[in-house]
Amino acid sequence: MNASRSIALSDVKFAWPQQPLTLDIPEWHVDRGARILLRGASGSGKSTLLSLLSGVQTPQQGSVVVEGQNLTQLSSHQRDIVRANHMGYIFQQFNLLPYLTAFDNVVLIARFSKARRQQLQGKAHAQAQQLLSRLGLTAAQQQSPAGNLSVGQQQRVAVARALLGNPPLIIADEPTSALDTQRRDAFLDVLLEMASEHNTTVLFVSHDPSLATHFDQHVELAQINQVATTEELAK
Amino acid sequence: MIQLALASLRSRRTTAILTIAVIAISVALLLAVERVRDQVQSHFANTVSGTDLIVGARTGDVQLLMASVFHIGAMTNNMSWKSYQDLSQRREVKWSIPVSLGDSVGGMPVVATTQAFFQHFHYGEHQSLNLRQGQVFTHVTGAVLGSNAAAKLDKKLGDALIVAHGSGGISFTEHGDHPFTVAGILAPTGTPVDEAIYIPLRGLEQIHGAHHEAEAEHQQHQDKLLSAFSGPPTESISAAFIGLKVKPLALRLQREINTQRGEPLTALLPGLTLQQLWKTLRLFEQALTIVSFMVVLTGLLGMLTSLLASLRERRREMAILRALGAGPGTVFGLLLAEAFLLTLVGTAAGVALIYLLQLSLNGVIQHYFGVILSIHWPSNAEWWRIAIVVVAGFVLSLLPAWRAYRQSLADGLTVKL
Repeated sequence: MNASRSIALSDVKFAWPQQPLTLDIPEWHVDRGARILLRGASGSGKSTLLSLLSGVQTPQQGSVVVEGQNLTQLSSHQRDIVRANHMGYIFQQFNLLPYLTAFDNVVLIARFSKARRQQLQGKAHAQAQQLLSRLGLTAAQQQSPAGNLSVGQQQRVAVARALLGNPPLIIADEPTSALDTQRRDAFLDVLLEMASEHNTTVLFVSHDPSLATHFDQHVELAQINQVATTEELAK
Repeated sequence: MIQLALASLRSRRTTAILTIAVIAISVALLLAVERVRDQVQSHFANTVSGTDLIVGARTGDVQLLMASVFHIGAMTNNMSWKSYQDLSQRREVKWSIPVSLGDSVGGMPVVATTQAFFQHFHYGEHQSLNLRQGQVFTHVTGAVLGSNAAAKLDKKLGDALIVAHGSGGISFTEHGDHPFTVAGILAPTGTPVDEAIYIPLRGLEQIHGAHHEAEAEHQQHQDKLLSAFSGPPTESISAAFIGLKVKPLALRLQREINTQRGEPLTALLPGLTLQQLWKTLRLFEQALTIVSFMVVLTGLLGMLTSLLASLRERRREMAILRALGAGPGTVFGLLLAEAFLLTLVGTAAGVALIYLLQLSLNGVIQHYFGVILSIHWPSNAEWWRIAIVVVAGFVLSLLPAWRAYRQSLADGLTVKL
């Protein structure tokens, strides 16, 4: 295990029940503080890889180490705790509970993570407000139900939630696919800018190669996944 | 978690409120059945007290009890005044009340009796009859009304009453030429006494037997004081209430009366016969209870349906919670908390509803059914029923919770909608 690595996979094999192998990754790692675009066509196993990284699934073989924790050696409950403590997760869309206010959606993470509560030292509310303000949400918008916000605003609230308590790793699963180009670029700018302040690792997953300019590194899933490689070779 | 469940429920408030309403109504029904049963039973047991024996012409115990105490049905045979007198003069007998039944005023039963009735008849827990207005009849044509009878017939002191033959609402033979005058009105008792009209035996005899007498002589009789008469007031009566000096002798005396030679009579112990009667009603009572439990089950199944239906559209919600670090166990707990909240609030609302209904409808119920449903803290039996509902709600809510648990395990963070 290397302390400078945020994510380290070795010899990972995963298949969904009664299905052929989806992932076969002999070796892959992400350095701490890196901003990586992981690109893959739909169906190439992106979602499956994210399930492994977030600890929702475990591989049949190999090890998945995230922030120094070997997820394959932890119970599902412990993996849930690792996820709550070390990861900010941003979905494609529908990131928020529509019945809570934007503000309550942000501070919700503190309810599930002891580490983040400690990190915030009781300043969760203050930091949440600060984050939301910096992301351009007015005080009124912060207190309005999340369902009433525009998609762009909702995605920014999701960023605030992912960043609250400064987790070392942010995983974003195609968060810009519902945004137009202009708002997409604005979204990426603010996400990456705020992530860099705390040297946060950003793993950004997308099918869109045109985003590559925003990131330090651009990784094709097909490069690291041998299952995909053999398929693409077959083509 | 409760806060989250509450917020989630609030966002689906129409369904939640409907679910709560259905549970509340079914719980109210369940409690109402129990409450009515309980009250009717005690009402039933309270109709007569202190009377050791009821005696009438030979018939079934239940028929004699129904006719003499509840004024339901009729006695086909009478017992002779002589038999009654023999009985009342026995050494063991402390007091006796003769009653003659079969007439009515506007559908309310008329009970012809003597002043002994007001002196000795007890109900509830040895409560005696009290007059709310006026006094006990002293004249042949005096009448004392039960509180509901007075209200329904809309009679005040001094008003005239026309007694009709037969117990139906409409009678073809009205004793119109012999009106009675309201002398007194009884305070409410919550027993069949409230429904009845009490007249002197001599007064009844007069309207039935008047045809034998000359019109002039009869006119003189009309307003006579009862104390002015001597001799038997009537030839036969329907039944007699008897109080004994030594209570345990009742069983022996009953057997003696039932087996004696001479006029065939039936004697019954009111407490025992009331119990027998109540047992025959038990089947009906149980059917009611079963039906009301079915209604509760329907209410809870309604909750189950709406929760299960909501799970599909809430997969995203579950995925978000999972992404934030909530385990499948938290998702399970969330659904459980939600269902439990619905059940608890629904049950509480049901309990509140029953009190609200009682407060607003008690007057009406008393007026139409003569039953006072006392407003009291839930009884043990009611607490049991409430507990059964809550536990059943909890058990049923395990199903959507389990489904959500499985769903969130399968979906993880990737929900394809």
